[in-house]
Amino acid sequence: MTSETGFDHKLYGLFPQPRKQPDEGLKELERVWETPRGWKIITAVNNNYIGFWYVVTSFLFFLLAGILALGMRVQLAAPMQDFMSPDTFNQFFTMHGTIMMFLFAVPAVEAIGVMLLPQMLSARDLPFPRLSAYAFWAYLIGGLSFFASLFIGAAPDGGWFMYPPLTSTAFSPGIAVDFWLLGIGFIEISAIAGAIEIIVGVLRTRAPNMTLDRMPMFAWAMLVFGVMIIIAFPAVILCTLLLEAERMFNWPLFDPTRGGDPLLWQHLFWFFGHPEVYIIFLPAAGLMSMMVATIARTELVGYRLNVLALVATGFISFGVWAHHMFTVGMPRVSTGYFSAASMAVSLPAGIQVFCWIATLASGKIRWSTPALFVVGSIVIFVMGGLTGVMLGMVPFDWQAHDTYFVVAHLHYVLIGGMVLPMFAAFYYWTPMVSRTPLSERIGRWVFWLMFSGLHITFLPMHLSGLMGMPRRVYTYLPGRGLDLLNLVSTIGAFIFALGVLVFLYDCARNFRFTAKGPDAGNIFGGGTLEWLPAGLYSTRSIPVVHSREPLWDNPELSREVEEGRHMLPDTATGTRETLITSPVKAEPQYIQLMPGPSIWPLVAAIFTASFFMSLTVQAYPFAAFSAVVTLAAILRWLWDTDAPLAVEQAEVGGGIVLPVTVTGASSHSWWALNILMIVIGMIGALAVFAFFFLYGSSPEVWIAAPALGQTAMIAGMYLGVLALLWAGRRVLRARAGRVAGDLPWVLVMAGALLATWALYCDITGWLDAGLDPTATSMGAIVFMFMALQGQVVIVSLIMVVYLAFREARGLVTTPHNVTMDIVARFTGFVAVQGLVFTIVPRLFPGA
Amino acid sequence: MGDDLSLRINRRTIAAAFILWTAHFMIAYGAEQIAPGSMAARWIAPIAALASFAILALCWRRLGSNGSNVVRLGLAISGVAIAFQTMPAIVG
Repeated sequence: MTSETGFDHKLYGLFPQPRKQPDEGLKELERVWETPRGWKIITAVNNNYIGFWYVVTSFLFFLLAGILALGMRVQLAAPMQDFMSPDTFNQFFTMHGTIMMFLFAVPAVEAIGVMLLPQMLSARDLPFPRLSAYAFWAYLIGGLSFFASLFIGAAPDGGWFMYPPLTSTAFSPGIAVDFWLLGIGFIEISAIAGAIEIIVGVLRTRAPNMTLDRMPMFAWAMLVFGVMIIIAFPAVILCTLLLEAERMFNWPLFDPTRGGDPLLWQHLFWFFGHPEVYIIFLPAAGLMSMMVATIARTELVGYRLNVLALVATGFISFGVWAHHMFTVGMPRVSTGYFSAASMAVSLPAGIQVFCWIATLASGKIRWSTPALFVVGSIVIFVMGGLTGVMLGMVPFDWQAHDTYFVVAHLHYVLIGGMVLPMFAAFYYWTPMVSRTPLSERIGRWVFWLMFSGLHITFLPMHLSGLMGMPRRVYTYLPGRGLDLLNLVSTIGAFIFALGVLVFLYDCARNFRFTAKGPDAGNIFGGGTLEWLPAGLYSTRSIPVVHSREPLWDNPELSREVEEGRHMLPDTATGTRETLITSPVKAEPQYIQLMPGPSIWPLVAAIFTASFFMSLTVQAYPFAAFSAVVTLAAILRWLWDTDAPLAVEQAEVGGGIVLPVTVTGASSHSWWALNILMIVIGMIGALAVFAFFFLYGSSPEVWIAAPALGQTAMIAGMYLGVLALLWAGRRVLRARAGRVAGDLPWVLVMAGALLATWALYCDITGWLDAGLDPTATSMGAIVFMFMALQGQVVIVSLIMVVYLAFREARGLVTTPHNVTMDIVARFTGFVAVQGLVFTIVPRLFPGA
Repeated sequence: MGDDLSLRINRRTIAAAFILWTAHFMIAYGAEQIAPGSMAARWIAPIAALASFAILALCWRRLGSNGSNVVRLGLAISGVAIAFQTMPAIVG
């Protein structure tokens, strides 16, 4: 095999090493990875803790949203009931949908990823443990605050998709909608932080020689999941920003009387909303693929077909968003395109299902609780998929749109595609984190109650929907043939809930959490690396991987790893560290030093939540205070992470010496920053889409652009920014072996200041041209461009000040420095985005 | 070995196949958004489809006789999806 990085593959032959490592090394490794005890446990950043807390929190939200569903089902058990008022019912269905989609489904799969991936890849931890901790705390605090809105009468009631004009100030004047908009925007930041962590983790922290072709299916699924999040979630961030701007500042982006268009919201929301279904399903499919192989006691049939299906689903799912909008009156041919893509996306989903069935058929099934859940979820998912194909046909959708048929379809897909696989995963992977496994006997009860409860609840809804019962109504008239169907659905919902209750009983009785072992172990006989003996540091040494199921192919592997006979035995630098490998062939590249426990991610999360809450209740001074504290906390947590190194190189076993931390394209931080810039760039690209959409919708409100000379001047300034950044990095490189001095950061700061000036010229140019953000949709969207640009300019200014502080403390190293690298590249991104936001509206002016 | 997903040609061909589908979708949908219902917008989709098929055929040839069947399936799925997506423009 040719090398990706110049690493000699023959060196893999040195492992396992002939002699075991002395026990002192293991003690040192345990000391380095020790987690604080008592209340200080909240400073833990290790994935064993954060992942577990994450999973528990997401499950808590599943329970809370489930209770809301039971309330709705009681209300609908019989016609004309008054168990709850119409307003409360509106709040319940809004909160149920919002919590299930935003606070349970996506965080749950992300949580399982944080918990399982490091062990599955045999990494010591994910590459940014403090970012994981921040993502978790932000999610917990933001989620609970959002849920608490129910108890203070401020719960949103506009449906989980919050369509304007219902959610505009004219029809929803209170703060409930603002709670939703700012709360969801905040929670999405957490989801994106998690996705960045997962993408970099999967691509850069795999065990040596675990090529893309040997990656566990769950890792593949999480990679596609992460990429989909960074493409899709910016859409929901942008549309929440746009609607909040309309509500808070009277910028008429969705108001047709001033050139806005409510359909813009629907396009942006569903550009996120439909891929979201696959974002939820794909990781669950990855879990299924892994469990199917173990259950059938054979290799997964069509591993590569499964990977192909994951990638194909990832792409095609972005072409189906408007199938939620068939009834809004889009042009007929456009409607056909979305219908065709909706049919096409069933091809890769079908490939996955056939691979699972073929694996089960070719192996010898061991009928355990996970096996029941896996087979049950295949049945349910296929049923949901078939009604999905029906709804993908425009004439059928016109008939069934907004009826209970759609409710039945989406619950079959989501429960079959995500909830049941998650329960299968609970039973399958619990032995990895618990001293005792969950009960097989109780698990079967859980499965059959949930499986039957699901069908009893949702199968009748197909009929009630086809009979014309609309969604989101708090009651219905008697004598229309809906009474019995609804009663049966309500009984089914309680049977399903009973299944969940029995599961909780099983957990209370049998689950005994352990972060550092001993655990119940590999009771189902899985073949992947998460079943290696592990502690807080993951595995004692990182194995060289030669197949997809290393434990099946080498039964001695556990012992070899435990004796420290593979790579990076114990600790090479005396600190927390992991091995960074190349993205395709997983060739060892360098040792990454990892940060330890810290209170700062928690502080940052608390004050980020406080910032958004203060904005919601319009307490602007406290919002500003919270922003400052958040910033200080984040900078404090970063301060330790790029210190000058005590050792430049270290041995990872077998005489192989690797550098400790690198900069540039080989480094994990380079990847993370690029992904972050893609996220911000996607927000910008979607804002450009919004510009053209509004331009096409109401060209009559467009005005003439500022003078050409001014446009050229601003463009020149942004090009000047790029030149200054290039010069700053050149100077730093030229000072190799010497002190960095002031010139590099001064050049970068000059670039950031020039970008600020360019933005100021852009704003004044449009104001002088007579553009008013409150008067027309053109004003609103152009000023939204400048607001978005303002945000990144401020971040860039903060970064250069931080760089200056580090230089003053002698922490900027030559010829390369991670902080300098990141600040310069981010400021370059600011210039490019500024250039686009300046030129686009001036190229498409009105009369 | 021919099917190995770590091989550059396999990775790139799979990515190219689906990027091509995305490009075709964006062109066809974008044209319809700009000029809804016009004949010009409807002609763009089949023309873009023909160009896409040509590129898919090139990718298929580049794989050679020992090329990966999984990658060929990816090209086929992309081709079917593009053909399917062209139908609304033809049928109207």
